[in-house]
Amino acid sequence: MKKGLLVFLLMLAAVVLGACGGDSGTSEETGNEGDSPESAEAEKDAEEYVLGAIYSKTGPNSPLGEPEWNTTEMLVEQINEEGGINGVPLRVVLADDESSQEKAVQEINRLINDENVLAVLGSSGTTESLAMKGVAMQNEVPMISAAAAAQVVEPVEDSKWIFKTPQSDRLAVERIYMYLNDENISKVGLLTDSNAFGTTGLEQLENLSGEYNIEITAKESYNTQDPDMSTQLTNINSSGAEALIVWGTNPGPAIIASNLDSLGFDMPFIGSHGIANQKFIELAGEGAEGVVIPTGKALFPDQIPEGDTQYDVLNTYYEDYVATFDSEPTNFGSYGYDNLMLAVEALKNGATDRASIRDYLENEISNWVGTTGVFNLSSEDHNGLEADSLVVATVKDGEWVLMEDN
Amino acid sequence: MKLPGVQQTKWTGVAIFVGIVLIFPFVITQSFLLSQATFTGIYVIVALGLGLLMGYAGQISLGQAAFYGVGAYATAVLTTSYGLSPWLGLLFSILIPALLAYVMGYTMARLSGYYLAMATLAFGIIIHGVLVEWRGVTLGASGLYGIPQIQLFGMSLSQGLPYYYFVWTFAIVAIVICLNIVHSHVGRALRSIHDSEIAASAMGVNTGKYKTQIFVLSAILAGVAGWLFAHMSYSISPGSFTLDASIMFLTMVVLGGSSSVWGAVFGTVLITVIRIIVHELGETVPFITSDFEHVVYGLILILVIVFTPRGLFPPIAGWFTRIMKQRFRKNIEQTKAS
Repeated sequence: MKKGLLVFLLMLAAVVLGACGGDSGTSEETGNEGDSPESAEAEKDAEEYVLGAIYSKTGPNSPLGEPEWNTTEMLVEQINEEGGINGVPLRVVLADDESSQEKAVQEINRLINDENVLAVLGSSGTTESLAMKGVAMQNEVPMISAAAAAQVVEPVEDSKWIFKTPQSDRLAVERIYMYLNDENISKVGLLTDSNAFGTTGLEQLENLSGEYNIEITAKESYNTQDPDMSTQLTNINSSGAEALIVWGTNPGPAIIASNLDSLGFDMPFIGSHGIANQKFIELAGEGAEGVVIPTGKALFPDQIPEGDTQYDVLNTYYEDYVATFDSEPTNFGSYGYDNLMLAVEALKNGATDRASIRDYLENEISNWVGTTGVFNLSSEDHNGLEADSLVVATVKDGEWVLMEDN
Repeated sequence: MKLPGVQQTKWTGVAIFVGIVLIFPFVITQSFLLSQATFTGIYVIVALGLGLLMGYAGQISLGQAAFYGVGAYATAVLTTSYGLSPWLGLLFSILIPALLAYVMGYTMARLSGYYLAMATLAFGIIIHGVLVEWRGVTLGASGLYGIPQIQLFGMSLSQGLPYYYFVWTFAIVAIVICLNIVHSHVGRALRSIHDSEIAASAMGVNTGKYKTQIFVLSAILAGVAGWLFAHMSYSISPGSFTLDASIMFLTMVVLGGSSSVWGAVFGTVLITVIRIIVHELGETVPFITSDFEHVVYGLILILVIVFTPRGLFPPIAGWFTRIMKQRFRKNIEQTKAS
């Protein structure tokens, strides 16, 4: 038995040595890179621009991370086929944080210090992005996050190097409240996930309710994997709520929708942008009919009117993505698109080191048309989107459709 | 002839280890591995406490991540919401987990084996629930952010080389403390509890007292590790302090072997290496994802318990010293011959 153990250990040692000797964890072939920051600085006007991207390709956040990851890969290939950025090829080092804060920290350290990237894109989730924020700020590296929560870029004086492209949950809440005002609904019951997405959503729903004269009659919560939410729904229904607002990501809201359907309550179901995907309709079945959500336009580019400034960008991206991966990019893919293209925009205009990329993003991005919205970044706003970048969608005959009037 | 069980601390081992820790960043310059090594240092501190608890007091704790989390949140809340200095935060990162452990240990001192494991398991789940739901203090699932860095001699300790040395200084101090405890009368009393609690109490050892003490010590060590983790990160969230983390700590101790202090250290390093390997393989082999780690942990636990119940460290250390002795002898013979 002892001998077997020995052999096992030797093999282990061999693998470890192999792993240490090789380039640790790059998903793309590295060309020539310096080991120390000095040699990388010297290579600045060099043969390629290197960016880093950390997305949650696996783990609980994978529905977010995968389209972001795919989009990044696809765009880098397209850019290089078209001759790179001003003739300089682009290389993006992709890393998977596995939806874990610790791994996100390790990866961003690697990207900044070992790969000497000019900017970091990602990550998909709020907790991972906040953990990365600390490292990016310490090292003064521009970072463009794909996380929903506003605190990733707020307060802005503590977020000098951090930007983000998804609409903050604040905007999504504003969009819903605007819709409720139009529909003359003033009493709502809240049912929110106890995870990060649901908690920050709840915070915004509470903070903004006064501004839009919305009365919250009941607040309930659930866990993402709970199999039944009938109890919470009954409580909310008896509180006199005229509408139900559900803040969460699949599968929770789908279960709530079918619970609501079978209980036969007459409350309209208003969801978050977290369920802006076909998966929700598949899971909720009949219950999905009539569900209303705020969403980015990437959910249905073909329904966006042709006069829209984003029409061309959105449709080109959507078609390319579907052709390459045979699946929908969803709104998350569009965050991946904007993250990369904002950095590329800076590089294209001669901002080729960390500090000038940051300055370019903050000062020069105005009316920049992306897939998520039209961005106006400034020293006060590192997100740069307005509530009009969101539209209201509803489910009709098992499809998401744009609600024209809202 | 030394009495079995009465051993003196071997300082050569500590000296060699300190040497390895000092030299490591110069041999391995990759920042990725340096941050892995920093995390390893933090985990070593938790594993040391758990190792003492398991190997010397014969108790199993499935809630070690909770103490780790309480330590991290204690300092994070106090430094962000109340503007306390991180050094004062350390005091609370020690006191609060210790107090919790004392209260728990006091009530659970009569529990042992599976019952203690179950109680600590429940404790871990409760603490996680509190961290998620007590939104007024912990800010809930999205986590607490804006945690300040530690200032030392007017320098703020940022991630990378400074924090690596900082963490390992704490880890080595913890190793020395544990070695001293193990080789003191407390260590002998504890080992007697581990071997036979009935015999120990019949010999006049106050088993309840020693068990509570060691439980408090393990909580303090986990709290200190939590403090180190919180001030390394800009933000912390309850996701880092789940049952998964407790199982990881348990695997580290079981793999290394809980019958010696070095076992916990060895196990922690080995688990980190395994995590890096799984990560590397995941880059190329599509079916290996983050969940795969848990499969590997489970497999390790089974294999170790079946084949080397004392963990990997004792047989490897024995083998290593044998080889070194043989070499040494050969060298002497050679010099004699020439």
